[in-house]
Amino acid sequence: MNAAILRDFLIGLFFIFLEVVIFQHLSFFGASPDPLLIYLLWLALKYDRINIVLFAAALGLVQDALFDFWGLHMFTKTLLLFFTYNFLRRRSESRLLLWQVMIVVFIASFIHNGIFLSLSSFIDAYASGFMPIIFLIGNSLYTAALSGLFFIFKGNQ
Amino acid sequence: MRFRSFKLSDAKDYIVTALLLLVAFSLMVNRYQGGINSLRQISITALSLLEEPLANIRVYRQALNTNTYLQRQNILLQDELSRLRSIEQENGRLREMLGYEDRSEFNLQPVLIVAKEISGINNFITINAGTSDSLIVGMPLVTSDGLIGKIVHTASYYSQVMPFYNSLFRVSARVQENQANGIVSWSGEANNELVMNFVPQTIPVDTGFVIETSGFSNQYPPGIPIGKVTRTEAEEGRETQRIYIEPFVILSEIDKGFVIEFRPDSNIAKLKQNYDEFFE
Repeated sequence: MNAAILRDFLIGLFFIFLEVVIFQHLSFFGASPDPLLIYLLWLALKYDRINIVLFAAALGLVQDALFDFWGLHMFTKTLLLFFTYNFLRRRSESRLLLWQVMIVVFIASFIHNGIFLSLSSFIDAYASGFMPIIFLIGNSLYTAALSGLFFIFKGNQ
Repeated sequence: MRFRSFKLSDAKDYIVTALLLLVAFSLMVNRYQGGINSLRQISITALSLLEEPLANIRVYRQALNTNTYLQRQNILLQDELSRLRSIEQENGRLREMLGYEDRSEFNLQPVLIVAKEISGINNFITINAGTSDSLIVGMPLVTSDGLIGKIVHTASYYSQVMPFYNSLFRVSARVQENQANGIVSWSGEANNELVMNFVPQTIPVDTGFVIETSGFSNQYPPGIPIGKVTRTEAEEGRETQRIYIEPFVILSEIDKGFVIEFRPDSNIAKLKQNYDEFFE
């Protein structure tokens, strides 16, 4: 593991930390964002697929551990990053505008939440805790809005 | 048309991803098993440690919300308490009046005081009962505490009462302790004091003695409390004393009362008339 990977992994942990201490308490109408997903989508522009899948799995596992979802985030993020990797790489070839970033993140978040919700219903473990519409649309919109903020501060890099 | 070629590196991606998904799925399915349960305990501890610094902020934020809620509740409760106190006082007054009504040997007409003028010399009180309720001029108005005054004018549904704080008010009275007689009136000087005249100086009257109607004037039934003695003064050049009385009834606070359906005894009135004619 080289230093760049370790640094990005630690940044990923920081995003999870942010979610734990800040974003989960800043919910609007029950919707809360997923900053780790934004980070992973951004990370997909830097690394090849095998690495980004490993990142998604490792960081997803940490997220699962802290939110007591055990495997759900890991599964969902790994699957999402694996299938959207090529699409994201193609988009990275051109300079994206703010609204494009937000739309990409919204779609990715919507798919992520859809898989998450389906999976949780399938294993019949966590489904009762969610309102599907808020979880699907609200969380996705909130995550997209947060990505817009990150984009403004970070720039198209 | 371009076809995607399958590379060996892609197979590696698929295999690793499949393995990771398998691990994730195993975690999901076996989350309540022993090993993962131990991990859960560790993760909960870690989460608690991460959230602990923010707990005070959340408590503070919650306290602000609670404070606002409690302030609102406090205002509502104060309002309710105020209304309950008012109701309690009214309830007490009504109970006293009911008790007095039961004790009284006369017919009592409960009335509401609808107007009061008690800040001048010729003060009056208006009550919501009149000739339609069989009230006539001269009937006394009382509360459970004592005498208020007597009716001086009547209309169909209202009557005007002359209270004891009126310069024309007179009532024949006696000291309850020794039955000494006199006339109670208002000097017009103080709004918390009546004066009883014509009591000989030889009769000892002390502070706290109760003054009540004597019934001798044939205008008030005997035994209606008027007030209690606050002080006495010997009248210069005369053999009588002035007795100052604090009335039991506080006119500014009353809102209800009873009219005693008392009618002067016609035999006594006739005897008095004959007596007056005899000396004319």
